[in-house]
Amino acid sequence: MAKDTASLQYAKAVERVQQELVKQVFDLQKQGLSKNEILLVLQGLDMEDIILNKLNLNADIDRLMLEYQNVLGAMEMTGTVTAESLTALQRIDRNSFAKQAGVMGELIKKEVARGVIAGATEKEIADGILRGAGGVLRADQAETLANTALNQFERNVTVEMAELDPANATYVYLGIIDDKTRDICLLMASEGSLTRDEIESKYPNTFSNAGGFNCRHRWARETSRSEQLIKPDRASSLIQDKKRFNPVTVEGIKVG
Amino acid sequence: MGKLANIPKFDKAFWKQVGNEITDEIRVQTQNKGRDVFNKNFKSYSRGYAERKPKLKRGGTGFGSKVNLTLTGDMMNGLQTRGFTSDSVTIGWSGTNAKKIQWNADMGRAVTTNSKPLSNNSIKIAQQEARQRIKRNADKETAKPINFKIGK
Repeated sequence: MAKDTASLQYAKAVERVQQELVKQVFDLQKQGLSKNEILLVLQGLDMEDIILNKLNLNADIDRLMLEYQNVLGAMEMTGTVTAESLTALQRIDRNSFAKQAGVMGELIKKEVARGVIAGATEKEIADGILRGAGGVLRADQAETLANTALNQFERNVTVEMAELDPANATYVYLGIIDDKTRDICLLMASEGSLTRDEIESKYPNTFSNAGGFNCRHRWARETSRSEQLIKPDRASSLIQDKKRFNPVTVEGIKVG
Repeated sequence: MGKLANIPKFDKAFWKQVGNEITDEIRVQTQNKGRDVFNKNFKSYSRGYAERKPKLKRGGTGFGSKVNLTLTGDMMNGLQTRGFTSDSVTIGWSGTNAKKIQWNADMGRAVTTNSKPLSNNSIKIAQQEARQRIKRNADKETAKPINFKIGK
């Protein structure tokens, strides 16, 4: 299964869980429970447990994790990346997906409670949640999260491989430069070549995160062909043309 | 003098460097020059796709309607050095990007094929890197010690 397919399947699983949760709450109503009784039931629910175990999103997260193995399968191990660090990276991501499910559950709980009080129909509440009402994770956002996590994991492995590079090795920021490019990416692309230390000092953590979600760029080792692939002048020119320029890393650190 | 047997020896760092040089050469060949692994211009896009290409979601400019297999840049950016030992380097794509490369090859736009994995330019780069490394190794292994006598 390819990365994109795995992310899409995860997004569909999230959507299925959301619809099922709303349906189950409305089953309570059909059984004759009053609004107050439904709210009391909602209040006592452990949403993380319900989503992960009863509605079995755990199995879907496990399927997504299998794709991590495929990423590794395509990256021959070189001795610079240890099995322990890779396992740790996978576990961190798995825990993160599980926690996101819990947060999503709590937001769905709030949204359903709001809908029940307002007398909304099952369809109205379900449609609202699927559209992201109340800040609930939408399917397309879940897909982006999963896709970004997989790309990030691949980048982390590549970064580990870069440990073999000498300290004075230089890197360039590769990827398309156009009017859709993020400010932070334009700034890094305008730099030309930098050492790893310079990158970490000027643009913290971008060596592995690049510009963030769905980023089309990455730091790559400078080669004899790099000059033909990068466009620092074009990036600088786009920066000059901007009315508002706010380069921040994915962690919200303002740079430049 | 050192050991002559060390002259043709390469290490992991050398192969990683070769991988990085070749992946960048393939990007230049594909995206900048619009040429396939046989050094021929890529077959034209269908008229419909050429018109749609600049407007596609997340597409960016992708060099407009130029045939360079670049829309978002993801596919060619996904070409990376994927592994290296003291004897070899592996370069390539994974997942969706690998499928896109295969699909393009099936459509007559080959960046690499089983029968010709690398363009002549890429092969030249590998040979040039090897020559430089062998010369460097030879200089190191055959260097004669120079003795200075200081004082009386």
